[in-house]
Amino acid sequence: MSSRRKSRLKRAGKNELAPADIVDGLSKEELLATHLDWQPDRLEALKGLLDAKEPWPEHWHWDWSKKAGLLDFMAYRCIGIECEGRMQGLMMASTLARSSRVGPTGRAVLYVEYIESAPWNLKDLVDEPKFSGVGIALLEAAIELSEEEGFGGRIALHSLPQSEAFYRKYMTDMGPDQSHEGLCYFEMSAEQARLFLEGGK
Amino acid sequence: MKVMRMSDELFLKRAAEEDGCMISAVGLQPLHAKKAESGQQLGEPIRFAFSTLISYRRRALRMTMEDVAQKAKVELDELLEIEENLSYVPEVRTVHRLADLLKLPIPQLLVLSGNAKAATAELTEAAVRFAARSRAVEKLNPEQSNALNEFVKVLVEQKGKETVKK
Amino acid sequence: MAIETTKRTMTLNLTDAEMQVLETLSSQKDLSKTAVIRQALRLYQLVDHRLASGEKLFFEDEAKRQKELMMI
Repeated sequence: MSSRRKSRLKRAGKNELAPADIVDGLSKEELLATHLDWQPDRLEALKGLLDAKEPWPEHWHWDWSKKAGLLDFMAYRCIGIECEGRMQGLMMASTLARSSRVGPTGRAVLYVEYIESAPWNLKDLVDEPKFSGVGIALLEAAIELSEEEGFGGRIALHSLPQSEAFYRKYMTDMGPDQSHEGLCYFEMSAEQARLFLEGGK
Repeated sequence: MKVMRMSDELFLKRAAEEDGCMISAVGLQPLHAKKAESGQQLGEPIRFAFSTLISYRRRALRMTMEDVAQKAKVELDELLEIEENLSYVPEVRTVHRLADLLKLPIPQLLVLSGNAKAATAELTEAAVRFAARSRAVEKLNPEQSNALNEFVKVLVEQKGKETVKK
Repeated sequence: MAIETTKRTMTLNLTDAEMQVLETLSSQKDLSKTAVIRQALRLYQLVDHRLASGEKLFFEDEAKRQKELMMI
């Protein structure tokens, strides 16, 4: 059973917050239900991408029933952010620690296996996105989970190319990782996590 | 356990900067479960059809494996695996790049490569027929050319039907 | 998967050698000893599941082009 805690998102185009819930410990069924909910809007967005001859994100046609099976293991945790009755973003993290590559190296790091915003929040896919701050809220949740696991707030992920600029603002860009098809690997140290939450450079 | 939260003011500022940009991150490797199993579940004729399709198409376009590897920006050894190892399931990204270079429809190629579930019985049947008509030879003879062209025609028709449905 | 909000305590009896390993790992990874044990549990669950389904576990040294089967 998942647990909830209060969070918020920003209404796109307005300087106001919308109350949201971080839903921690989503089940396989909830993960699959979210992808089903997002699929029609993705397909709609796909038409636009096909016309523009843009590649669409590969994970849109993953077999999510297999990926969701990872939630049978303690090592994997799925967290979502819900607002106005719908999941606005999803994240899956591995609490089986990776080793930090940013100094000091070898420290336990929470690895974010997957993170994504709902298609209707993305300006590349829709003319009027609904909410902003999904990435910020989920990074915040990842740092909290990292702290909870004793990893000091350290997190890491491999970014899709379109998302690199976002992560570069808050994390260390370690460059293309050939063991992950050349996707850029990003790490956030404990100090960077503190700065992310408190502000400042 | 202390609750980590940024102030609402800072959140608003950061969210405004996020401004609807993509935030997708994907740890591909750990989530690729059991590649060999996927290939086996697919069925040899289908996978053979994929290998043969890539190989024939490459040859029809008069490209060596090195040419394809260079132009599609894929590893040469992965291309070798695709054309010669029936239990190898290529990365989705690789299938995209090959589809782009060889001008083949992506969704159907993903099915044939074992990365997506089979869409229709018609596609499966066409793949099996193509596999049955194909042989591992040095040159593409007229019969193989015909088999290739007919199969590609089915793939494109399939794609057209799926687009109409949407 | 249920998220545990309550925790239960158990006493762990370890040999000196085992405690030494636990303390070394704890120091190297900058993790509490409890966190190290939890990591071990997670890894064991994952590995055990895949071995039970018939897979094998290997270590690979790409530089030396060597693969070694882990007999578990």
